Amino acid sequence: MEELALQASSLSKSFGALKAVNGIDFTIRRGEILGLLGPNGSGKSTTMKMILGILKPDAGTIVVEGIDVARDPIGVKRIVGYVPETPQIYDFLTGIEYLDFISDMYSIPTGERASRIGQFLDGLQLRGHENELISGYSQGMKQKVAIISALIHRPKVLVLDEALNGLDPRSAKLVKDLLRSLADEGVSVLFSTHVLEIAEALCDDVAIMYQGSILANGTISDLRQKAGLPGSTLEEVFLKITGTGDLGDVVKELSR
Amino acid sequence: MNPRKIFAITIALSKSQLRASRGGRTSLSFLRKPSILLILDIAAFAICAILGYAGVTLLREFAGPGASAGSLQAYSEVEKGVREALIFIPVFVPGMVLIAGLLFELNVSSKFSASDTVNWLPITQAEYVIASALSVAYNYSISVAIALGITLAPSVYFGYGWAWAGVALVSILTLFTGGALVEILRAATNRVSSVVMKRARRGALFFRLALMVVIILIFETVFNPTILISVVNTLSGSLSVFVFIPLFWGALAIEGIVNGEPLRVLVFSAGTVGFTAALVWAATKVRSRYWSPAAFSVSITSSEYAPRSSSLLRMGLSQGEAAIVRKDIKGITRRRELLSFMAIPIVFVALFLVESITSTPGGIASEGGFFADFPTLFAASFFALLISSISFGQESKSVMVLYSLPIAPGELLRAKAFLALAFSLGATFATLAIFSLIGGSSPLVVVENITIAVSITVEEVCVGLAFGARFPDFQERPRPRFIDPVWLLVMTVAGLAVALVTALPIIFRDILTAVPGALSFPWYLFPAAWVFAGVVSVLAYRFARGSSEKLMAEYRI
Repeated sequence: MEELALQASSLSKSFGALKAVNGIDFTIRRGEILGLLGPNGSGKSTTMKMILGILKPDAGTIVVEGIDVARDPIGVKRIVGYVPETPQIYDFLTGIEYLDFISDMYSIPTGERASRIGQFLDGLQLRGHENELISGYSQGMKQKVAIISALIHRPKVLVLDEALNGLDPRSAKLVKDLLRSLADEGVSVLFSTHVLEIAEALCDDVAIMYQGSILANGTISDLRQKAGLPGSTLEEVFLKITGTGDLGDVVKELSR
Repeated sequence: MNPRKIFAITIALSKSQLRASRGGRTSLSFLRKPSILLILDIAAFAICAILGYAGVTLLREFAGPGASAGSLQAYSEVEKGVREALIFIPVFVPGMVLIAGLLFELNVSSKFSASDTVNWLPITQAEYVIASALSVAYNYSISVAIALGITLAPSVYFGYGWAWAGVALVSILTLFTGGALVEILRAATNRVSSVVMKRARRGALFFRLALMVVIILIFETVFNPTILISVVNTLSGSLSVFVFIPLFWGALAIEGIVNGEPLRVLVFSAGTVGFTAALVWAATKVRSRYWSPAAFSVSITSSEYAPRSSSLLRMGLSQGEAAIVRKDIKGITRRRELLSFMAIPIVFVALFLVESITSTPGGIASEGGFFADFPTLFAASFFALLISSISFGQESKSVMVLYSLPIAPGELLRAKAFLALAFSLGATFATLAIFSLIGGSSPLVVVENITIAVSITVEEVCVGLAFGARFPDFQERPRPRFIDPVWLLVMTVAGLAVALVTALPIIFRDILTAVPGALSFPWYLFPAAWVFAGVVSVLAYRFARGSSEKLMAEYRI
């Protein structure tokens, strides 16, 4: 039996009358990159927040590397790296102060953190900006800081919510390659994106969420089979499965 | 200059100020329109006018035919009081608007002011400054409405009807003067911010806080009529000096109406208009020169990153707790919206100090007793309550970072409590030292004051944390509030009530000391107060811990 890094069972979450997540099940194998695809409001971010213990599920369980999130959310947070959809980082700190703060929170030894932070700053081309206040950073620079924060403590599981948003092409490529490399070393990744080309290039498996439910999951070729669209792009598969493909009338209306 | 544009900006700013501190609830949408302020003004004026009329009716009966000599003497005192009130209303208005500006305008988040839409719209600096000053004046106009309402009937009754009409006109003008002063203060504090942030390094951020406090203090002192009158009395003893102080020109114009001196009225009315125009001109100049339209890149240090073990760990804090404390210290010194929270208690205590020094020959504080003890108790209670109650809410939306990190609710609370206690005890001891020196308190009194002030500080920090953890407001608004305003009021009442109970030994001691031949002081009140403060602290901290656990259990923002 393959070792599971993450197992979500019968997961549900409502906000008032809105059923954000509706009894979903999925697993991530150790070293697997699972792409979570879905339109805005489909429940991806809610699912990710429940994995971190930031939101409490109404029903269902989540086990991350053998730790039940409901029982030990702090334990899960220690081994997970998380990039939220819109990173709200402390903009009155400098980049280096923020990363030092994060290192303290993960109890990274002081002797180790300088070289580790330095590598990321160089790799993501933030070197030279590390002593500036984050309030003066561009959106892409803030995203890079958030990504470094998620990786700095060598997590076993990565939960990345639209993590490539705002990154320049070089940095986006670097992060994608890094994720692949980490996955090869056994790090498991849950990755949500709207950019289907990224999912197609990066993910081992894909789960398509729509209105709080997972409509389909598996490899991309599995999904093509399920959609009855062999040889098609992931975009076509996605639109077919979510039933949102017929946009002709909308385009006609908008272009009037 | 385009009046239509000015009007449009005034309405927009007024809406922004009205809505900046209110939640998203739309059920009472009329409360979110600028017209509500006018309705409130009219209502306040009407109620106060009725009260004033009722007062006059009572006065008529009191001083009617057959009244005693004492009654007639009192009647004459009331008339004198009404005349002085009319003369001084216009003088107090700008200072009042300045205080309101300090409390409610200067804590606007730099994030919102930096992305201010007006910076890229086709609006001149003068148009913006006038509109902003108008909106500030409009927002705090209720005080003038109350003053005019309460004085209307007595003024007519005593034959000062024309003077009252003059007061109405001059007060509206000085309301605008206050608005212009707030604009200058805004630009001055922004200037300090940008200079320090652009050129300075780590240590200088504390310098910015000190400089801001000094600037605010100078403004609040220079435009505080009570202090000015005391200073004039001390320095010259002649009221003719007021002719040279523009703030008093409005009062001199009203005095001219009361005394029937048209030339005086004309000269000083024109002077008041000129003074206000000069302030608007100055505000326009300082804004156009010092306003930074967008967030700029700021380097705090150029030195190489060298992580080291925190000295806070030696004080018993965990690595995570120490990290939160260090982060919050940086926030206090760098975030403009938090600077005013630090500055307000310091400014109020300093104002009390200035007033006490200037109001009597040796100063109130030099007389010792409760006047010397009060500022310490005020600092201990108000500052501790304020700082601790905002400690959770000031995380704003970045609290999401804490939710995603491995930090336990208990650790978060300890970190917040540590910082609030450190700052509050510092403020308490500083105030205690200053006022004990001025008051010449005996060593025994100082020791007694220390024990009570520390007890109050600790209990107020715990009460503040209890409310702050339970009812935080993480929403980012132009004017962030950090704690639910309703519970802020409840907390203030509860906090000041327990502080008052804890301070009873000092109050009794000061009263008994002031009354010759009074009963001997019941010494056991001191240990009783310490026990009371201890019980309140433990209960409040336990409540705060429960709230912190509940808060961190799920992100509900």
